[in-house]
Amino acid sequence: MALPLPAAATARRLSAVPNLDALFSARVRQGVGAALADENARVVFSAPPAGSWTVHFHEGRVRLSRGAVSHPDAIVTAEPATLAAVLEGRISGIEAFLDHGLTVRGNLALALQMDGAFDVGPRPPTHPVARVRNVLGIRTAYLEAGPRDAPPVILLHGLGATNASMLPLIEGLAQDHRVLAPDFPGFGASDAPRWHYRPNELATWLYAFQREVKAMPAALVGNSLGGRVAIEAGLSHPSSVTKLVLLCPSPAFRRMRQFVPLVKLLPPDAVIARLPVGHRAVVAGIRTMFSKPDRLPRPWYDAAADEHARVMRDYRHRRAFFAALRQIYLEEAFGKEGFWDRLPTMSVPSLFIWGDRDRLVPASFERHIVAAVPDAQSVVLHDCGHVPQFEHPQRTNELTREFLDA
Amino acid sequence: MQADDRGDRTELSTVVSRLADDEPLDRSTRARLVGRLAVLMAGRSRRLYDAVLEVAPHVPIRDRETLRAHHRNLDDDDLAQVLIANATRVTGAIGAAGGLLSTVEMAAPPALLTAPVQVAAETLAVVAVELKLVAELHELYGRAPAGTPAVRAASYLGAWARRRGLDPFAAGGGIGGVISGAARRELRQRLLRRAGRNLTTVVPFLAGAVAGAALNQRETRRLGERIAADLRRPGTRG
Repeated sequence: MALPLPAAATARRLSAVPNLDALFSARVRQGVGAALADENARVVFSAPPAGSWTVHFHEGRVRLSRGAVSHPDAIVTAEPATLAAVLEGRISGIEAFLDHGLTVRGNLALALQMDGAFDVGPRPPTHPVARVRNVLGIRTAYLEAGPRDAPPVILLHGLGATNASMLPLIEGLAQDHRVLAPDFPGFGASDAPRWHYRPNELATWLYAFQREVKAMPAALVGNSLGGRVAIEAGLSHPSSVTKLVLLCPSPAFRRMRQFVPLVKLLPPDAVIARLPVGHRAVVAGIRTMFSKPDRLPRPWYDAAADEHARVMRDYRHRRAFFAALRQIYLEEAFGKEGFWDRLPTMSVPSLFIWGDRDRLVPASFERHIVAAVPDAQSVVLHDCGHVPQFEHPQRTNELTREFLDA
Repeated sequence: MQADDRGDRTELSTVVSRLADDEPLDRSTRARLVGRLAVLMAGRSRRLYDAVLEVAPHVPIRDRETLRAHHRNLDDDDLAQVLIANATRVTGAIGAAGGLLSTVEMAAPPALLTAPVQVAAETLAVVAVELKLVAELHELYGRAPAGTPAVRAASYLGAWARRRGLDPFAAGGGIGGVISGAARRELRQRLLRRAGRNLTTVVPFLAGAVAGAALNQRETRRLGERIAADLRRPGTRG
């Protein structure tokens, strides 16, 4: 419990608090970028003990009010000094989230879109900016960071995740790469078309995305489903891909094929009902992705669970999730169209990174990958689950950089 | 092939009987039976609807005399409650069994990625148990439809889909052309909704089979109460 501070100490502490009122007013006066132009939302910024502010977005306009409204779309909480640093553009919101105790509850995608939305002054190019593009008729949300003329790297998230799951890789790579981190169609802040969500559909979309943002060719870094899509891009459009870094990619099932006809009975449209799963259950589920879940601070799990629940409230996104999940199991393993028989034709230089305690995509797949693609590099990280970029960010960054720079 | 098919059908009856039985089963046996049902049904049908139609005639149904013989001291309404409670317990246990694939594979597969298998198999098993409940409630209240077992099975599927007791004055249903297009659509929608709800228990990330148990129990209890309430009202049209 905090002890009451003497009056002089309180005064000193408050005097150290930056003038957040002025900073918020200045940012809001500058208006917002295109990523937030269509948003109708309210975001509360809380910086105890300095106070709280609500930023209102409505039909392309932005307005500020003092205090916190009830039921906002997102709540961003940080120390006053951290919030000031973000508002002044000295650090990015993502950096504050990862390193400086800034927390987000509610709509994480919205908070990410805000990071850089007020960015009209000079800021380091490594600070990500949220953008949207129409790709194959699909509103596609993505983060971009790094010099525009640097070699492009595209970060591809996994099943049920969003581009937020790739945050630990963005700023490091953005030192000397143009980093793009899209939300796949069907995930996060991107629209969810009625697709099958087969890897080749997502790879076709990725190719169109690269053309749209002029990132052709690009290195691809993909986690889980993102890794599978990256492999598909390498197989189907090798000229559009320079290198592949594959973090626990989800390959086709080699066994348990006997249930494929059964799963085909279950169409993606089955997911009519809303999810009755509570926040704690979602957090518990996400924690199973990690070897040592307590390595990550609790607010990160809360943010991820909120975001997952928010996305899943929308039927089209629920359907997309299930369709993609279903496709992972249904994907042909062998034969002309089979993943494992096509894999040896891979010509793009590849680095596979596995987690020895990954319960979702076991590292035992490594031997099959090495057999199929002998030229590929493969590393198994010790004491690592399914999301190496969060569990071992430094090592994952080092391995990725070394491979991309080689 | 025909001999194999006959063998499969015999086994299908055995598996469905054991799954739908009131007798307690240990978790691994139940998971193994759900897995076996999945293996038997995999590849036999092109739609979930067809698979359920195929399973339906294999559901064992006790007639009124047998039910009364099992529970001599209870009146019909109390006996209905026992049937509902038993079915609720069984579908709850199916939801809690989980991990059916680990019963047919040496190594435990990743639970999230095989969730669609679990959901499809569990849906079939749960529908079989609930179909037995619907049918036995009709038997208990003397409202069983006329016809062959296959025709009756189709009628009960209709009652299951509509969540209503059968109307004794309405024309009976039947397998193979007797089920109307509208009834077929209704059944398909209900099946998808049920499978979807089961799916929600494995999303996200298979947080736990407990949620599946609770969901199944709630759904089965609601179904049983609605059907029983309908059947208690004499002459109610469905």
